[in-house]
Amino acid sequence: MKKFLFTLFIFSNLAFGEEGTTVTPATTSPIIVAVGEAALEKQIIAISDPWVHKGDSVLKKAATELSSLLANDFSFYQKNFNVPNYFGNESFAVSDKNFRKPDVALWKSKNVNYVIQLKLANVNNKSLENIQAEIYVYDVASNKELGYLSQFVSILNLREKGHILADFAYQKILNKESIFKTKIIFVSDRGSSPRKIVKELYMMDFDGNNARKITNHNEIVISPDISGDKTKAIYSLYHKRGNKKNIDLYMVDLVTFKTEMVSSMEGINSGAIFLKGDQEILVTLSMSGNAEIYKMDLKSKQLKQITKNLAEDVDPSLSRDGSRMTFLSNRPGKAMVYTLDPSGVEKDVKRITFVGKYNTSPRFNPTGDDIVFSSWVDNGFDLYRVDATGSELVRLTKDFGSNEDPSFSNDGEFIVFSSKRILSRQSSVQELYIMDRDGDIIGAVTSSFGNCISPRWSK
Amino acid sequence: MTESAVSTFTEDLSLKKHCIIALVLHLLIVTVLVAIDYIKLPFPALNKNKNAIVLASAIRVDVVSMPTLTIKELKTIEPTEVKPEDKPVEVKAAEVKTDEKTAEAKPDLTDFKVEDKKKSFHDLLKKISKKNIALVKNDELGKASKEQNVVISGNKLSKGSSLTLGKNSADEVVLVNYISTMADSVRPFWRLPSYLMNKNLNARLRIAIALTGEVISVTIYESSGNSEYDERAKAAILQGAPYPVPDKEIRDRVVKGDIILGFPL
Repeated sequence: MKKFLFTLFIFSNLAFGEEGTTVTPATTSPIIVAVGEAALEKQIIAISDPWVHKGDSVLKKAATELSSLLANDFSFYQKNFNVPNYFGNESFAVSDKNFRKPDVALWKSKNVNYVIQLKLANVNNKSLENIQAEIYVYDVASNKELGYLSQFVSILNLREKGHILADFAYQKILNKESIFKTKIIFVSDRGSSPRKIVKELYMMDFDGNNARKITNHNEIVISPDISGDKTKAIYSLYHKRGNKKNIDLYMVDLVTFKTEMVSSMEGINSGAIFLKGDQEILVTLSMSGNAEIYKMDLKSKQLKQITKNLAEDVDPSLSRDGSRMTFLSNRPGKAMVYTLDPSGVEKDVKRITFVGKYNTSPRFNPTGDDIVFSSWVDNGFDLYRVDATGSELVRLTKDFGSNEDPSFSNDGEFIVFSSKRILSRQSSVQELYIMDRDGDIIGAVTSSFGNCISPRWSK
Repeated sequence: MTESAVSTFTEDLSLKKHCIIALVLHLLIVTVLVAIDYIKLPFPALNKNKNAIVLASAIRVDVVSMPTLTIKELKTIEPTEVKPEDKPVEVKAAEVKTDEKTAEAKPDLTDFKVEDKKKSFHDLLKKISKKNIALVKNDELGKASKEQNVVISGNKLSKGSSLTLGKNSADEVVLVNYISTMADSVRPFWRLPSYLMNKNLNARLRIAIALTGEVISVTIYESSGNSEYDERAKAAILQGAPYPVPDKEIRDRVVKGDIILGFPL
């Protein structure tokens, strides 16, 4: 029995002893190093030949336009997607009399991840006013249909509906919103004469197509913004009122094009942006003699002061949830970027930038994590990005003209900005460009459309 | 049977009974401990990691002027190789302050500077003979990045003072540098499809490296719970190979597998 107890004692000591060694730090501990977050694997998307009812040639033309629009839309997300051109290749076409699912084995052999298939049929014979366009999204790996959407399309709204179909496919693949349904408003001096400079408000699709004139003041429009529901735009007009010039605030209905004056107080009435719900705005007013930022109710015109400082505070921008506002202030003696909580007066003010000769136009990304702004360097402006805590300051543009007026896209992945190129001593051209949030240029979205400035991306 | 015999018999019975109870209790305790070690999730304190040093990238950046380089340009700069003899020395706060002050005073004069501490005549002669690296312009970026102690204006990297490794032995520092280099090699291959992104998965893999830099073994130290995620992490490690040949002082530990890479942490 004693022997048995001794054995038990030794056994239990060994058992606990082993556990004990793990409690005492070992002399040579393994070292864990973080690799970090993974990058998104580029997905290969095939936009296959569309299926067209009875091979109708007119429908085929519409289908071709829709297919190239889809490919172009996805190409903006060049870091996420690779869209090889399989279109027009009969070996990949679904050429059956009846519409059927794509040949998954065939696409698998081409390492394709997703197939987008269009199906077009004419609802009213020989009329192109009522085409039924359906989009099908297939996951090749799982051989599953991710979803389908049907839209009635006419020749007039082909692009608009095409972007809706593209956004549907994007959301089915990545499960988040895309930029495909968004608009960009901007100011252009198109139509100016050497004797009179005129700057009007324009609106276009995110890809630069479908640009149209919104205002017709024959004056100078500045600092526009577009409402969350894309039905209204707010902007300032530098014009002669009575005997003197003033900067007044206007709003335009983007459906009826009806304009109304919102604020015409003495001094500056500018830099207005819509708050969530589109019933209120943040605006810079200088009726007190000093530029401050106020919240204004669009119906009652009631004001609530947000900034209160001897220095000038201008150019507000909000995070999507409205919890933080970034603005420009010359409190430290030169223009620097600040943030605050817009629910109070001078609430939780934080200085974000401490460097830069002259910083301007700070803009929040939708999540309120990053701020993009332009800063004067050498002989022009360049764009920089800083996180909302003031750290991680990075340069986005260089040797690409003078770059100003940045605005984040609705998903925070892209930035639209104006870029000025000097052509000669007396002439220059200013176009709008899109780059991704890391500064990789996607391309110009305006071309030969006058000097384009102050772009604002719809939410 | 005498009274004493009865008493001895009763005592024997009692001892046996107690022994059986003790045996059962001990077995129960051992079973519970084995079960805890097996399950371990609800007992973070008993996690394997208590014995490991977790090291995430840590570097202090003092911003003294607007960055001169874009993100794209910064990505092209080769990371400065840290040699064993460049073991981090504890930096006194005063030293760092002086450094910041100097940089702040003249933030925009040069794009890159090679730090020089002494100003003896010998150093002056040395400096003249190496005049070509005293002031480096943007277009000479490639060359500059290879130089030691290069300070990039606006993206100035200073010796951090907060990174500690407990005992902080010299070998440990060499091993940390080695694993950091490995992580840099793995990172370009660490990619996930959209359906595995933003799922808050985390995996840790233990790696043993041969003296040639080849991978001997990759084992899952902590699974993410998603086999595809774990496999993709493993594939990234294999794709990143071969790794640099380990230095003498860390060979044993590298071969033994004292290396754990966290995906992402």
